[in-house]
Amino acid sequence: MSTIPELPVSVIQGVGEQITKKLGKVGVKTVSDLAAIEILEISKKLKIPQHILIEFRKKARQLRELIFDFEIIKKLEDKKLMINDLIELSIEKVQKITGLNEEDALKLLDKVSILTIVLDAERCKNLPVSSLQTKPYIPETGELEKLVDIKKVDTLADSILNEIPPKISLIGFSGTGKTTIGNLIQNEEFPKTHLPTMTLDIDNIVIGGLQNCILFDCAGQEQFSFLWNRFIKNSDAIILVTDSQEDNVKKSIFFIEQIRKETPKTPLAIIANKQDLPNAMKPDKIKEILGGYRTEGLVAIERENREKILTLIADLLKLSPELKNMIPIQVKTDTIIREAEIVTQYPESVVNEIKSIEKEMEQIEKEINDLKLELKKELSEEEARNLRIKLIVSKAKLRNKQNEINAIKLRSDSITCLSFDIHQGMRNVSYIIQCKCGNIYKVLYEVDRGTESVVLTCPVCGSEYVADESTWNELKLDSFK
Amino acid sequence: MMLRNILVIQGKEIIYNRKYGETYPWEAIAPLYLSLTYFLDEIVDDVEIDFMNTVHYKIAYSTNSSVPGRPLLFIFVTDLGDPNDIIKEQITLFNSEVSKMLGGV
Repeated sequence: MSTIPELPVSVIQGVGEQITKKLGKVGVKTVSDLAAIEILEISKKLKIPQHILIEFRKKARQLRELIFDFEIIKKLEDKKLMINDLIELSIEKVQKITGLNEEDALKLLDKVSILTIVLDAERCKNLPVSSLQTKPYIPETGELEKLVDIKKVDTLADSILNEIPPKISLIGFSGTGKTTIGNLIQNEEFPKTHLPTMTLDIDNIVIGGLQNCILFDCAGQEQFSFLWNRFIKNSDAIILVTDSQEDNVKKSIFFIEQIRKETPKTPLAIIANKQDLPNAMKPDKIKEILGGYRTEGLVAIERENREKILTLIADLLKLSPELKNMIPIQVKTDTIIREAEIVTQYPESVVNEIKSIEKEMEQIEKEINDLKLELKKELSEEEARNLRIKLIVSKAKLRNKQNEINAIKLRSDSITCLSFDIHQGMRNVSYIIQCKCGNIYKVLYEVDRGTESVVLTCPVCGSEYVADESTWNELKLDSFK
Repeated sequence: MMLRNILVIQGKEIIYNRKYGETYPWEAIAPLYLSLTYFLDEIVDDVEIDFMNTVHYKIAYSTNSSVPGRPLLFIFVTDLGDPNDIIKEQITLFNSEVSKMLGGV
């Protein structure tokens, strides 16, 4: 369906054939092009007086800003109306066709009357109503880039985003796995035994590109039930955790009722945890019992489910695709760093580099604490504002430093052996290699007791990495030898 | 609390648009956006902050006419439950910093 900004410039009243031709030579062909022209430049090039171009551009912009309701246009279109028919329609007829009330029908006719002022009547005679603009003009963005250092603005905007972090609440009865899910989200060690959470755990978590969210993990024991109502209030997303056992699922209806009462608009999802246990109810069945909310089956002690839970939170928060699409990268990076840290000794140069950044981080943390103390004093509005700006910038710096450390760890040329096991006299070794070309690849290699070295080839650049006894020594895989 | 979108508008152009979360589709907010830009042409005194609660989100805006050229309009789209005082603090910061970068106060 064409829209007015896509119509040729010739439809603008007064433009005529000659000027249309002239404008066409400099690429100004549609109403949208005309609305965006630089008057001085076009006037010089085409030798058209500036005031005439200003008039044409004004009309093009008026057209560009007219918005017609898609549904209404569709109803008019069904009657096979042309634009000039619409102009002549009585208000009663417009109401009858569109179903609009008198006020809205008048508004529609007002917009149509603008068309009669800016469009060339003769050229528009045969334009169907469907050529009216149904998609509104979307202004160009990014002009600020030409005026200021856009990175600074982005950093400031991101810092503000992190200053007002969303609250995600994990709720459910004791022993359903809330704390384990919290650990999975944060890529931390899983608890070996069940230690009930006392009252409340609060953690800062990262969800894809969203660097700061607050995760509330509330105690599930009934003795703390007096806290639950207050705890779910003001949440941006709630995750109800069940252990998928029939009894627990049925009891969890209590939480659904509380959530509906306290914060009915907050997005809610259900985790059907412990799907690996016998008698675990299927997620579909749990969904049915608990009111049809999105329900995901999970085994929270399996680290490969991390992406699933992060994606669920991103969906509940309705994160933009830019932030959500960072989740797989976050998971991959965290996995490599975590597992590399378990078995890898970084070369001395890398350790020193990391240490020096950690020192800078300590300094920034000190600055942050000082600023927080300063802010508690009596200050003028101006002074307080300046301190808050400094605080936001310092926090952003701290996050950047942590990212720098992660990047250094990844950049490190050292080979990282993730796991190895002995099976029927063979050693199966999984290597994750960070190649010099930047590619990260994983190879499973089988070696027997007599093997002295293995050659691993990067599938992107073909570079070879030789893993031999010295590598295994470096990785402290003594039992491998 | 969730900041979903930051917009900076000068004249009738969006000069900055950073999206963090889902908001309304453009078709739904275009009339509101247009009315704000018309309002921008009319302002005499700057608006420190004003809020509009829509069906799903809260829209906060603030203006700054100290910059060279046309005044700036800063829009934050947040969740409905987000506290006004915190939004006010953050939009004021953003307004003041970006306006300074552009030669305003």
